[in-house]
Amino acid sequence: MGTALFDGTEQLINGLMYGCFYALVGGGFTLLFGVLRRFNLAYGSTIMAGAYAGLIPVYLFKAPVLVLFVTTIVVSVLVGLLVEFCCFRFLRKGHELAPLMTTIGMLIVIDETIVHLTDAVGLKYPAPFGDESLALGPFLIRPDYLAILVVSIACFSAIFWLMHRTRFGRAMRAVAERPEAAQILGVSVRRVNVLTFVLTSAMAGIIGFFAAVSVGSARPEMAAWLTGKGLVVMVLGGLGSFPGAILGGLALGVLEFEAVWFLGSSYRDILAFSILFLILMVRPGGLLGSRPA
Amino acid sequence: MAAAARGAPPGPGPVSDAPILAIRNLSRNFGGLRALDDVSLEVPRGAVFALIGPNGSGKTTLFNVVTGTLAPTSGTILFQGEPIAGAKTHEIVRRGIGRTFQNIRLFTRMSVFDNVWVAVRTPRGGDRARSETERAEALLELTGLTAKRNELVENLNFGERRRLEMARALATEPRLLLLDEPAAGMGALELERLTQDIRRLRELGATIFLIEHTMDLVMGVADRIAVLNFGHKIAEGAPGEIQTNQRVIEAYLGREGSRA
Repeated sequence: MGTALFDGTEQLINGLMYGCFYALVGGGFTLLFGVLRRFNLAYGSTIMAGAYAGLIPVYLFKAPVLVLFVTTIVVSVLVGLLVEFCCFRFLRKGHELAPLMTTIGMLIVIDETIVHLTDAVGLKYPAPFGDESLALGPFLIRPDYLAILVVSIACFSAIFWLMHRTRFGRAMRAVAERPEAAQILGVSVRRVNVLTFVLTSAMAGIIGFFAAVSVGSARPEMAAWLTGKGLVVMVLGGLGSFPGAILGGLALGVLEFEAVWFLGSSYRDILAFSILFLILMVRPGGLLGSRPA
Repeated sequence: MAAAARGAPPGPGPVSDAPILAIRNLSRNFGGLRALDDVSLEVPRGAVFALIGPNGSGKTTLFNVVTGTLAPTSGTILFQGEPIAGAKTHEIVRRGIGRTFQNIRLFTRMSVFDNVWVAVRTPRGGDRARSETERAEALLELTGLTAKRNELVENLNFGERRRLEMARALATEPRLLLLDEPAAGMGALELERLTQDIRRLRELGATIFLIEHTMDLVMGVADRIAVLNFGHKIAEGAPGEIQTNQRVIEAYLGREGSRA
């Protein structure tokens, strides 16, 4: 009993830290959905493309990790702009479901390109935070998880500041709620959409870096894994609510880590989606969803 | 012809005979339906110009075409002498046309202040940090909403919401303000206040283009009135002329005064 409580607590700490990672993924999906009211299923691939591209300067020039990190962000932003251009820009008004098709297409294009270029072999990622566990009192925690915690808190703070204190943020909130009213106040909806892609794709770069670091390699399966987790967190939090996505990410992280410890890792994904179904039964709008059905 | 019945409008800007808005032969089809059919009208600078007509006569469609929400099927729109038909909404707004909606469209998840702040834009070379907040505050003062600045929109009553929408439209610094049924659902007291507000805006130099069903308001503020019916302009003139115009009476009451 004592060890179960101890293990449970250790998993809780790690789950919260890794939950921050899920919160970032879900937060990226959520910001895009909140502003565009459309799903971007290519977001997971945007993350993966950045993670792979970051390795290029490392393999070619033995570049330091900082260069890898910056490259990841830059390439993710470029891929995000490509997604906006190919999958969203030329769609007609009223075709809200069309992006499901165009972005799945983009997901396949990006995934297949990476598989062809790398022969589907996972590429080893550097471990910039070391692999020695850190002692937090009696508990052992992973250093890369601690880095995730710090970076995601910085990201969330930056996004809240941006949303509530800047011209772009207020335009974004206006477009998210009523695009036609935002337009009549002089806000360019297209500009806000493009900048939202830039913002969420920069997040994708950060996510890609930490995803590959925590797994130890960049792998083609990343896209499907991140898309699944991101969508669960977005729905869990209440489609479009950014604080909801943070809460949903933390909840998913903790429940997964507890389940892996007590049930075994093969139950991880079954559990993630079971949690989703259960929570939607109790709260159909998600944890912080305010929007009536 | 400066048709403003009360003489030349006061306020800033050169008083010119050129209309601020000139709509020429404007048509807009929806499938086989002709929502606007060859409509021409001119809104004189500094005037309060009212557009009336039965429900479904194309009034809001006309506003939607002027603000770029809908593209015209044919025809031209000149704003301050320059063509704007088919331009993007935000570009038209930045040129100086503001608008309120028939069904209020405030940002319900933002505070009263933020609703106005979204619309405030710094003119080129302006002092952004100082003037944006101050201008938003000044508009809340003008519309009597200062005490509610930190409230969420859901805590405002109906009249306050209408006034907030007006404040927000004014924040875009329009030369021409389009008001789509601003008196809808208002009680006598709110209506009186709205009448005062419109007169005050006119005195400040704004041109107002108004869609309205409440005839007390229209007759009380309008310098000139145009009447639409089934997408056609059937009459235009001073309030007194419109009240006695036979075609207008028929459009509203049906032929021979029989209420259809």
